[in-house]
Order: sequence, then structure tokens, then C-alpha cells
Amino acid sequence: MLGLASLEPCKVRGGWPDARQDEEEGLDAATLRELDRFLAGIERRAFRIAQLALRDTDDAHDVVQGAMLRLAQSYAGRPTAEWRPLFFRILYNGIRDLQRRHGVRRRFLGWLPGAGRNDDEAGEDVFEQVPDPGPEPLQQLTATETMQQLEQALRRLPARQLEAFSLRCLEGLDVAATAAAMGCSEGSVKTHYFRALQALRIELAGARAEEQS
Amino acid sequence: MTSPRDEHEPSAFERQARDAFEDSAAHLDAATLSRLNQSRQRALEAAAGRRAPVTQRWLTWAPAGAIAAAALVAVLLLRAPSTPDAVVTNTTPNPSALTTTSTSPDAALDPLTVVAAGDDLELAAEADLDFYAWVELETAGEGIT
Repeated sequence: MLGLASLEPCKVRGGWPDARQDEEEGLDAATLRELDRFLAGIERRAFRIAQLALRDTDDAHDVVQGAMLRLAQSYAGRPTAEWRPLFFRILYNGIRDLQRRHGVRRRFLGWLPGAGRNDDEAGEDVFEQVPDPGPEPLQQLTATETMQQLEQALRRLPARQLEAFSLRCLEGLDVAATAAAMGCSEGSVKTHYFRALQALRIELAGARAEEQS
Repeated sequence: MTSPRDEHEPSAFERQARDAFEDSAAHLDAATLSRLNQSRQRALEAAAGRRAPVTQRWLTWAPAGAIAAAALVAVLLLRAPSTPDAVVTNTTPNPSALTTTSTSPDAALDPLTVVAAGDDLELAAEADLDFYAWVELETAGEGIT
């Protein structure tokens, strides 16, 4: 279990751990080296996640840089185990801010058709309802083709499902860390993730069937 | 806390998606990697200079402090009396009874007034030479030395 007492899922989206104390303290060289390693290890995936969510390279760079700066300036003094969920929480707050800014344009372009859906807070353990998926739709594809199809399918996901899928599946965070990063309950994470998996399987199976016919 | 039940074994679909994502992240172009590196360096610089905001706060308030100090000095200089506000009252022929009074209510607390009052006392004593001459004559006649 991560030491995420101050990162426990909160009801208010975008709630922040208190950074004031950290800002007053200096960072020693060892922490700076650790921070460098952490950021170097996470930057590529963070950029790809931002790019998947925003579909704009410059926006993705801006959001990743903002998240790096925010983590370094305000939260680098916190335990290193908290950095990852903190970083992604900052990253997704930045992504949401940008999406809000471009929201009207994006809605008119139909990039996020399911964004208005309210699929929060289901509660039950949704993995018990996962049906037997049968042959996986991505099995016969190369990595590049897989990613291309996956990206197309991800574009059709509602924002919160995309968040859950990116953090749980692509970034590999556990349920608790994903909940901390998303600022919601673990039940919500499971729900969003389950629905994302279902939607992606259907989407990719359809795309595969179209290719074969 | 998550139970082992929560952390399910990833399906083949999830593994493939993850592998494809890792592959795409591993093959970013040089320009993107360069920008990411620059962003990281900026963040590290910011982290190394996290004490700067405190210093900046001092620098921000320094001009205000200087102005306040200058204003305080100006007030003190203006409040310093150009003419002594203490007067000497001489209601008794006994020089030991010479007293000073002040027109200022807080004169007793004002060091400048006290100093000025001392000067007045000396000047008044010098001005009453006739009185001292008379006292000397009187005391000499009575045989007092």
C-alpha cells in the first residue's frame, strides 16, 4: 500500500494535497537525482498518455511540462512512492483544464461523443460481470497496427474511461493509485475501467471484422 | 488498500494494449525526446531553486520596508522641537526651588525636552546674578559664611 494518506480519493475533483510546507523546504542532491530518474522514466509514457487524451503534440508537451514543474516545485519533498499517482493527478488536471478550454470546439468536432455521459460511481465489483471475451481482437496485429487501432478506439471513449484505462492498463497503476490519481473512489475506477475494456473490445472487434470483410 | 482480488491478472487484450503502448512510447522521435528532456531539466531547476520564492518574497517587501523606515525617520526629525518647549518658572528666591515645567504633556517622557530644560536652568541661573549677590550680602551680615 502506498503512503497516500493525503491522496485518499476525494469527492471534489482536483483537490490537492497541501503543498505549502514542501515549498518552504529545500531539496537535497539525492532527492534531485531521484526526481531526475523518476521524471526520465515516466516522461515518454506521460507524453503518450497526454497525446492520446489531447490529440495534439504541443498541448501534450505543455501539459507534461506543467505536470513536471508542479511536481518538482510543490511535491518533490513528499515520499517518492507518492510521486507517480501525484504526477498523473497533476497531468490529468492539466489535461482536463486544456480540454475544458477547447471543449466547445472539440464537442462540435465530435471527438468526444460520450463525454457527456454520466457513468460515475457504480460501486459493485464489476470484474465479476466481465464476460468471456473469446478471441482477443488485438491478437493478430503487429504492435504498430495495434497502437493505431487502439488510439482510434480510445478516441471514442468518454474522458473518465480513457483516464482509467490509461492509468490502469497503459501506465500499470494499481486500483488505489489510479483512484488517487483520478481523485475518485476505487469503485469508480473499477467501473470506468470495466466499461472502457468492454467498449474497446467491441470497437476493436468491429474494426477487425471490417478489415476482414 | 486493494485486495489481491482487485488486482486481477491482466488479460491478453490488456497485455497487448500495454505492449503496444510501451512500444509507441519507446519509439518517440528525436524532437519529442529533446522537448521532454528540456521540460525535465526545467522542472529540476525549479526543484533545485525552491527556496527562491522565500527570497523573492523578501525582495518584494524590501522597497516597502525602506519606504517605511524613511517615513519613520522623517517623522522623528519633524517631531524634534526646533525651539525648547520648556520654560523656567522662578516663583521663589530659593535657587534650589527653581523648577522647570513643560507646556507639552508628554515632556517628562521626551528626552529632547529634558535636555532642553537643563539648558534653560543653566541660562536662568546665569541671568539672576543680582539675586545671588543679594543673598550673599544678607548671609554675610548675619555672619553666615
